[in-house]
Amino acid sequence: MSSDAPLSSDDRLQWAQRYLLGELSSAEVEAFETRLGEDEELAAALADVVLIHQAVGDVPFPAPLREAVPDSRRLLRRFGWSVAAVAMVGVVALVQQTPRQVEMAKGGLELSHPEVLDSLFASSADDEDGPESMGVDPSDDEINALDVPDWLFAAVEAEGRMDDSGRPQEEEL
Amino acid sequence: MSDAESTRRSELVAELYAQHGEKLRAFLYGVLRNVELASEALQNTFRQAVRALPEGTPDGIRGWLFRVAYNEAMLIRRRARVASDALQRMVESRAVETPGGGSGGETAQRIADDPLVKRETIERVHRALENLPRDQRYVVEQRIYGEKTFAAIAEELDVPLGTVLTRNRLALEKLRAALSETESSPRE
Repeated sequence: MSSDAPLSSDDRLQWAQRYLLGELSSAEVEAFETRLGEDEELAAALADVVLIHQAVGDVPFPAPLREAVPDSRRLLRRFGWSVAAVAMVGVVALVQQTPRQVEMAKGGLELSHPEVLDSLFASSADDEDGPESMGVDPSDDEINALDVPDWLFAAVEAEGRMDDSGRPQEEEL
Repeated sequence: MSDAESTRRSELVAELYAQHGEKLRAFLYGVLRNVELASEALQNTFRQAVRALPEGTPDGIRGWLFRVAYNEAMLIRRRARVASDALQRMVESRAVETPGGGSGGETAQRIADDPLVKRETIERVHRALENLPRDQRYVVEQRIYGEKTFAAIAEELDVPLGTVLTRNRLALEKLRAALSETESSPRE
């Protein structure tokens, strides 16, 4: 931007926005600020851009915009959510199993020791291959809510009531 | 200056403040990136207006106010720079480590945190935003609210950068019109 080149109203707005957002080089900033003292319309454009940014920044992220996300990404997001839900249910089921069942299921893996379970949780918590790597926004409400369907919980509870042979245990009176 | 003249001038300045105060404050914030300093510069600007307001048309006076505001902002900046340099020298001489501190520019989020805009202005801009064509609105929000670069938005939408810039420009023009609407609307 030269400090004496003619600027249209649109140009002024664009330059003002780039100035505000810190997108100008130091030479451009210098030229812009020099001009700011002489060009009332440029000063007014900067004021308007500040006001617009303030006002737009106040807007909560509108729901309709989420529709602009490509369908493939939405499907991926749903897939990621499903994987997370199933994994969580798996861990819950694992915890509810008796130590002996775990040993049988895992071919003798010493999950009966609490520290092994701890490390299992710790490693899953530290795992960098989280939802982000699947293109899923971890701040997404859909993910954070982890709205596991009731039938899945019912299935886990039923699993907990089974004996070693896979038959339902008798209710304790 | 006679009492009558003084009263007339004070009334005129108060009217000018009501008319241009918000925009001048926003302009000063744009230059100074600090609410307190912008307020200080605004006060100085109107102090000057009370002392030496030129005769002229309202448009001419608006230009004068912007020039005075600009000079006040530059003055404050120079003063702040001098103070900052002095502080830096002091810090260096004592070999004290200071925290990282902020960069020159502040983010849009910081702007959003500062109460520069009247509620009715925000509401008008919100309405204008809602009325934007969806593609323009998306660009504006991703740029301002999402703090994405135009290049990143273009890549995400799989459209040329020029398209995104055009959408942004058209949107800004419409949002700006909403600000003007605020100014021309009758004051309560």
